[in-house]
Amino acid sequence: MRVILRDITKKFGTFVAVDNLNLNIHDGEFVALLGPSGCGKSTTLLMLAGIYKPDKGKIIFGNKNVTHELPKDRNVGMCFQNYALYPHMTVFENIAFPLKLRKMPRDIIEKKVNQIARKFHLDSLLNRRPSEISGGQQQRVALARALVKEPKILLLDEPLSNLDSGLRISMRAEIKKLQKDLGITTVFVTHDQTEALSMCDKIAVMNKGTLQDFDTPEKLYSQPKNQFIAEFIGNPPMNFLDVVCIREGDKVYLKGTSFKIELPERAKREFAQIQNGEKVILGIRPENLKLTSEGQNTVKGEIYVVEPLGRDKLVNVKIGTNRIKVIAPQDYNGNMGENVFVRLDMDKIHLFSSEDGNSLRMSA
Amino acid sequence: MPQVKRNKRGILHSAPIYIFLILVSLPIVIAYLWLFASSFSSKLTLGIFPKGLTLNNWRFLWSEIKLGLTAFESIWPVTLNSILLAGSITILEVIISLLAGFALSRMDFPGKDLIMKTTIILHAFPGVALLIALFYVLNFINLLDSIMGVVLVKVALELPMATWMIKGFFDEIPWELEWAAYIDGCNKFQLWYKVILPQIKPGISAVAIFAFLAGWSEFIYSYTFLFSSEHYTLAVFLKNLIGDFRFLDYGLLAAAGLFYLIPVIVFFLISQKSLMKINFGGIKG
Ligand SMILES: Nc1ncnc2c1ncn2[C@@H]1O[C@H](COP(=O)(O)OP(=O)(O)OP(=O)(O)O)[C@@H](O)[C@H]1O
Ligand SMILES: [Mg+2]
Repeated sequence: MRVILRDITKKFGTFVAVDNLNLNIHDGEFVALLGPSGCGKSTTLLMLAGIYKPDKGKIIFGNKNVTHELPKDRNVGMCFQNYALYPHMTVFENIAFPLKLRKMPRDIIEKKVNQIARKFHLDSLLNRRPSEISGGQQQRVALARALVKEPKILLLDEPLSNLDSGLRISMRAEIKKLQKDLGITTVFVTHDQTEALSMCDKIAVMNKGTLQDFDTPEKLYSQPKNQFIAEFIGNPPMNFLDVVCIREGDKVYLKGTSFKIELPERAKREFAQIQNGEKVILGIRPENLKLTSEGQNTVKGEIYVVEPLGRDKLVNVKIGTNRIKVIAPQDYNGNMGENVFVRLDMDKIHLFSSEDGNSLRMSA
Repeated sequence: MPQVKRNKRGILHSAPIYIFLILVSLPIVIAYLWLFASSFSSKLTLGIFPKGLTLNNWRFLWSEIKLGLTAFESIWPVTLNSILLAGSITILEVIISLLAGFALSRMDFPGKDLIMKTTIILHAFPGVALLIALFYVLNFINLLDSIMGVVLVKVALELPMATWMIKGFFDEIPWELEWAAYIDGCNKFQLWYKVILPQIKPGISAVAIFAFLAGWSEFIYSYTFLFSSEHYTLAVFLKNLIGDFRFLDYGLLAAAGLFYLIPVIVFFLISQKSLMKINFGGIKG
């Protein structure tokens, strides 16, 4: 079922938790709500579930306005961060609870619960209490409980954040597969960008209650609309350098405290709106930087620290007052305090306004 | 087996502690023994050794007892009064503390902090200091010399503690549990009945047990506010048994005291498990 949020605002007292949010989620899409802690992700999800009433705006499921409908009439399944299993019920009773409330006949309930329990490998745990099973098992029970009533929409609030890292990675794949198999419209809340990038069709990036952008992971990664998205998506995060734009004839330079580099044709077209003398922020991802010897269009810096990552090394380089991270091959052997030269892949640079942080790319 | 050896040494090591504990608790044990023995005998030798087995001391169960000028046909009406008092206190206290605890834990309203603070102060307030004021109040609302009057006073004084206890149980229920229940299809009533109540059941039984025991052993207010003998409770009755020292019948007193004790012991044995689960104000022990 498609889900539309239109001009949704939610306040707690005078504090605006979600500010004028617009989202258009297609049927069967797997969407992530991504943002730092406290940005209003859970609040948004709870409004979708019907627990919170928006102060303003409309929520539409399919063609129906459900803004004023109670949670029990919305047919959504939800999985909470702390799983929220009923402590006084067994695993079986937990999963059966939504069906019992629908007054389904006993034998059908039993059949459905057993079926889904098998699917989630919970068969042998049906008689235990939630306190008697592991975190990963609890999480699967919570998922089973959310899905047993065959909801039209699945809401997941950081369902993986309480699992250990191995289990988290395997559950990522499981949930993605499950979502594709069921074709159920799913909204997935997370503050982990890797999770969002690897699992979801589209990502809504939020910050301080406002939507920053809603797009595919690739687009958010390659053409971030503002500095917040650029920094939040990608690991290790994007590097930023303060520069001034200088136009000399038909050439365009970016001038930093200790360097001056020329923009190639493509970048010049993309960022044609920048004025001569304008202060901008240059953004570039660690994988688009290379440590080389002195040459044209390189930036001189000093090695601050080297972090081996296993597959490669992350070299922290100090340039003027800025510090940047560069990915170097595993056999790189620079030492702390040495001078290095960094070459930028100028086709992969991003420029942001130093005033509002918005991207200065023309197409954006 | 090494374990047995350890046990032997353990006993040797802890022997002084046991002896100390036995010595300290000896007076209480002797007191209970005396109570039990003297209630079944006509005479005691050496303090606790009974002589002349008799059921005569328990005659209050089936025959008339004289207290000074008033005669009670038996102890049963008095017992009934005690049950009525303790029972009413229990029911009222559970209902009110449940509602108040819910409000204090789950709702936001102006003055909530103030209410919680005054609640604690109220609990610390010595009730005896209120005797005269309460006398006037009860007189004013025409509840003097009525069991319901004592019930109201007792409930009012016990309520802060009970409310805090219940609040602690509500505090431990995560909001997500309620939300999950709504999403699973509960209405408000089902949420309460199927999800919330089972979580706070230990709290309710704890409050009920404390309320009943407090009501059962209630003395000072019953003694002060109940004058007519048809309203006497067991505690007041016992006091009146002792009242006239010249004619004090120790055997009768012991038997009546034991009779007074039985419900408490039974109640405690039944409810032990629930009592163990209490953690005041949600602090895990
Ligand atoms: N019931 C409430 N009363 C008052 N403020 C609230 C309430 N619920 C949330 N908030 C505030 O609204 C903001 C958004 O909260 P929300 O729970 O949606 O954050 P979140 O994005 O889910 O964060 P997290 O990743 O930490 O879960 C927070 O600043 C929070 O303090
Ligand atoms: Mg949250």
